[in-house]
Amino acid sequence: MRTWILSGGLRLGALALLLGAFIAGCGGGGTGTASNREQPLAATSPAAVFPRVISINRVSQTNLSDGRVESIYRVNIVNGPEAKSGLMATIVEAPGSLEVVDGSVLVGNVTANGTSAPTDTITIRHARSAPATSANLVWAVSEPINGIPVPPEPNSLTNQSTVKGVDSNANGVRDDIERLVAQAFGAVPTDYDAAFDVAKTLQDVLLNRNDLTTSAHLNLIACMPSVLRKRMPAVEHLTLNTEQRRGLYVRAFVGLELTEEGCAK
Amino acid sequence: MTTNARLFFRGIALTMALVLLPAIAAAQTNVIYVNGIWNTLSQHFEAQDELRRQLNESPNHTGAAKKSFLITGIYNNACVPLSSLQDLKEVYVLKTSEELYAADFRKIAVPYNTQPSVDAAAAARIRDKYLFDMTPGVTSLEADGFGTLDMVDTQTAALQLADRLRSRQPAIVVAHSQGNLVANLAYAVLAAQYGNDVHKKVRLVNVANPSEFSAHGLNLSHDHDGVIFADANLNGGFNLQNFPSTLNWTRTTPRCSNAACDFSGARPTFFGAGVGADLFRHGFVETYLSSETIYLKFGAIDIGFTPNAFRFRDRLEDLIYAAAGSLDTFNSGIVTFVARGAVMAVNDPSFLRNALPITVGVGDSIIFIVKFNSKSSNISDPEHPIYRAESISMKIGANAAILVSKDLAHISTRYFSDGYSYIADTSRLCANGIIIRPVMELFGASRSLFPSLELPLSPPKLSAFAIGQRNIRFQVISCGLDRVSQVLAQVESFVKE
Repeated sequence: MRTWILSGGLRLGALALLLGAFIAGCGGGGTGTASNREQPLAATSPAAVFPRVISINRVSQTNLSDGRVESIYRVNIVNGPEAKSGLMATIVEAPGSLEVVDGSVLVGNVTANGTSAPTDTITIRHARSAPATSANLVWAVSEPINGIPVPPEPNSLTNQSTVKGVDSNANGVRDDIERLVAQAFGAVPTDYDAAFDVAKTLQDVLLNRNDLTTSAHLNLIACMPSVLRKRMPAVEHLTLNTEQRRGLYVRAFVGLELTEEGCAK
Repeated sequence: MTTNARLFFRGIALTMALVLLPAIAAAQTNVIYVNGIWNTLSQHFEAQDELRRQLNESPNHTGAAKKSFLITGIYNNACVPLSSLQDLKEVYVLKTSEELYAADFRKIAVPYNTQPSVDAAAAARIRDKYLFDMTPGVTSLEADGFGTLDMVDTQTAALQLADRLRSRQPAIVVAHSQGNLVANLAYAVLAAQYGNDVHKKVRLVNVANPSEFSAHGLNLSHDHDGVIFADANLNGGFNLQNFPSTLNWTRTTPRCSNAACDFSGARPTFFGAGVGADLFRHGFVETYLSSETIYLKFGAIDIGFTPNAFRFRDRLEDLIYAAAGSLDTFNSGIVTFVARGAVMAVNDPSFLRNALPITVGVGDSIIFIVKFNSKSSNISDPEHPIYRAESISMKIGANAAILVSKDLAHISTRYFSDGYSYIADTSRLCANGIIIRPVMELFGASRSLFPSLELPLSPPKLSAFAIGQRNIRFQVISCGLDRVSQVLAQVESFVKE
């Protein structure tokens, strides 16, 4: 967008545009609005929407040193009249008494009007007397992007309230980034793998900055083929979409020598 | 061949490789790229890649003139949010500091090809007051709490760049945008440490330069860059020159008395870029390495540009080659002739911006290439095809003037019986031509080696102090103003007899 504002009195608007353009180019813009976020296929409410999670079954539990219990659950899913493939079921809301360690289940394929009990599990920490139940969890079942199962778009406020954001399947990549990577790179498996690694190592840096994590990310970017690296700002920008995240990023890399020496050619 | 023989020859080959490796490495010219704000790692690496591609693949330099560059980078500040205006605050503090250390920076800025006169004490003052402590203490931002902690990333970038320059020396810094302000501070660190010898160690090539300084006179900044120049008038005229008044950030410096004054920057050196896909015409890759044609601002840079190569990327390449060439020269131990000249205003007698690192002596010959636009066009780039090029020879005699003139109507050098060229009747020649004459720095001012242009009919004597003096400048004086709008005089060769 090109805007010409000649009035000096409107310079602040121009400032916003100028900075907006740059910030958008470097991580601003947020995680998207409701209008561009994919709506989950199903949630516990309304119940008539398919596919949906109908129950959970605890398969194991471990006592924690703090007196709580870490429980592993399997889920049961029922589908509607249309066969689905590559589904992922994700806990999108849980009571504060529950700590969702891994809230995502790879469902895979479900036949028309069929049920599924995926082998993948969820992990939740809770007080011994207050385990998770089917009733106190809100689920979203999301369709794949480019054939890749992905978690649903997270709530923007929740996702930006911490450095970690929402990583419902605990794979080291925020859910919104995972969806972006699947969307932008999922068509070519090698590109997807590379972009996923970039996202994962970058998240590692933000959450645990040390020589190992910074050099892992740096080397990945340095030695990536240029044609692919040109597309990485999309991943970086979305990852660095809060003040805190950007600050950590700068602190991790500022002053480092950037060289492609040592990369296999 | 026996196994032992194979091992023997492998050993020789390995030894030779080990011996040759440093030589190969030494043959490379180090380039360190410093990004501006709002860049991620991948964007930084892409900028390095594009720069490498241009330098490697360009046909502008070939054969023995082709150089090999080792391009690395220093990661400078990056994305910070709109809400805190952190980036602009850092630029504000850096630019405020620049106003405070301006007088000292002039004492360490040296044209790239000139014998250095670097004031290490001035550099140390810059380093100690404005890098080691990045809070100048005179801005409203600091009064509001913006301080040392907020500047620590910029400080880190500058200090790390200085460290890297020490280990990669000699090296060329290619700095983009705010990276120039960081590079200037790193340069001050080295200048404080090395004094005049810093001229053997580093050159700064400025790209999209928001600083008022170009430490070595190698500045690629075009006048339509909407981020650094108010005159570009992009985005409602908001830019790095006038943002203090827009945001009402005040400061007290020698140029600004507790007010929200706008900043001054270095003047643009190129013009002619149109409206491109890069919204603010500021991006390193998108604009400054693009294939768009730009023209040199009148008298802006003293290097010999590649003929008929007018693109942004060509210009940047030429600046880097000029930097590399001058580093080679000053590291060779033999200061040979390196200056190429400058654009001159015909109706405003001008001096070559850089004193030439030569010692004028009897018998020396100098050939100037003079380019002039006889069509009175507005195009001020002497590399443009509209300019004609002629050569003028100058030979220095023991008892002769070394003024040389050409009548542009006839393009004929006037030789005299003693075999040396000089001028006996300047008033007649100056009716329609140009004169080149040597001058030298004396007591801080440029003095002609001759008392005036009104020379006697007999050959004037070369001033006694001229012979054997170093750092000669040349002055171009115009005649025939109605025919020539601008002239470039550059020295093509200098031969000592």
